[in-house]
Amino acid sequence: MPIEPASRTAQTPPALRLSGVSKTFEDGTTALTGIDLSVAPGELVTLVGPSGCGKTTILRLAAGLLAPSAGELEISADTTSFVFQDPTLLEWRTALRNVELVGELRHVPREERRARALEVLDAVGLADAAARHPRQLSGGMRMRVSIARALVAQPDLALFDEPFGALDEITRLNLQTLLQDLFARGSFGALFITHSVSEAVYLSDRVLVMGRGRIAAEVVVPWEHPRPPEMRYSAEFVAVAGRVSALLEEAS
Amino acid sequence: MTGPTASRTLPGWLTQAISVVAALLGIGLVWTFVSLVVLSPERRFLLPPPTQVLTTLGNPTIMTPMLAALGRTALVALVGLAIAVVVGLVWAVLMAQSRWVERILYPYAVILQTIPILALTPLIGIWFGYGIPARVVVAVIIAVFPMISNAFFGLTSAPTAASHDLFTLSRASRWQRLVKLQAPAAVPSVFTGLRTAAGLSVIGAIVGDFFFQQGAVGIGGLLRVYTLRLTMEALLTAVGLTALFGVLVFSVFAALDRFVVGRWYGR
Repeated sequence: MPIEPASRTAQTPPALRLSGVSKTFEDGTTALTGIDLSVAPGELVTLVGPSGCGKTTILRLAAGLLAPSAGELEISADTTSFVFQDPTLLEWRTALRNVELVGELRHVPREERRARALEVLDAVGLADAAARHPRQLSGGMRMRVSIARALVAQPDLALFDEPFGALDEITRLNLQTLLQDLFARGSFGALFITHSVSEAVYLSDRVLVMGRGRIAAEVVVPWEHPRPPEMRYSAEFVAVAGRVSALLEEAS
Repeated sequence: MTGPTASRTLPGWLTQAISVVAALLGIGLVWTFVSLVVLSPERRFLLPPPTQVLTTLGNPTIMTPMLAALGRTALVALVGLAIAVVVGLVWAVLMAQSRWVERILYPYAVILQTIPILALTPLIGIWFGYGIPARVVVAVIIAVFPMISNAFFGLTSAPTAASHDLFTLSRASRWQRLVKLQAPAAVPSVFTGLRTAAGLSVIGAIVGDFFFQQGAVGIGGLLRVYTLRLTMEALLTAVGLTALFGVLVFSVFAALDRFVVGRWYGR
């Protein structure tokens, strides 16, 4: 199935492309068959689908944590970041030093990485919490630190593995708004996994609907970023979300 | 911990202190009863009443050598603990490097733990002599296993799979992974191991005293002397002091554990 990149980035080569990718694990289970997918620079693509449909496998392939069994995987992004389901913060480090970690591992000079980390913490609204340890932060704040850590490396491609799944509804909506805003300001392409249809529609330029290890359908979301939070309650939004839901039901 | 009713009326430490004193009084009463009522006067030497035992505390001819011996044992325990910590950490870090190294080294850690020290004493004596170095070796052998197993557990099981992925995605070197992920994640387990090892090193030093009597006498050596001479007051005082010392060492390391691990997580 051919998938067109969103119009605003049509000319540049994709940050990520999977062509005919399949993945069969050592125990014989087939997680994915014939996946064609691309993420253009500056494009946010979401994958929605029921648990166990292979969404996370796609993300782990895109991150290079897994190798495909068949097909081609092209990652042209120089820097890829990953936001996990769990914030995955190092409990013994403050919020600031958690954000600094990636720079530390890449031998970025201390002054530079600290200044950059403070800047990104500020962007996620945590300037005041820089000196706190993860245990002193709420679930939503921890996820903000996790997002800051992913963005501090200035990635070309950011991969999100259902990051807001475990958060309460209000926190979740706030973080969606924040991420949408960061995305509108940033210049990274993103592949975002979720099982929330409204989250997918609100955040992305394209929604890919998955079922049983395949991409079953694609829905283009036409609105420009940044998107006002109240747009989630508009009739057009509900109509698109309804279409995605119907496709999701068909696919699974 | 105190119950809800107690905590509403009295501060926690006071309830704790009262229960400790009450328990001591209870033991003292039973002891006095056994000594004065159950035992006939000619058999009373088996368990002299507490008052008689306590008088040894004021007797410098008994107490001066006893405290000196306890000091020597404490030193042996401390040196043994220090060696056990270093050996245990190195051992655990090596095992954490690969399954292959783990399979080679782990059995020896288990053997050290399971073989009765009694079976090793002849060898230790032949190799290290019958004096203070041999006592240190016993303390090390007894204390090292909890260091190895706790540190190894911390290094391998404390970091989550996702945090390992995070390091993999950042192309971290093996060294960076060890220093920035595994070792810091292992800190709480290492301190748990240290607490256990500290208590065991005291036991090891006393056992060492008992078997290796050349050189200056330790508290374990004195226990043996008192037993042979049937000086029950001194023997009971020495046992009490040893127990007190064990509790002290354990408490110090438990407090250190709480302090360090608490600060580690920013509490």
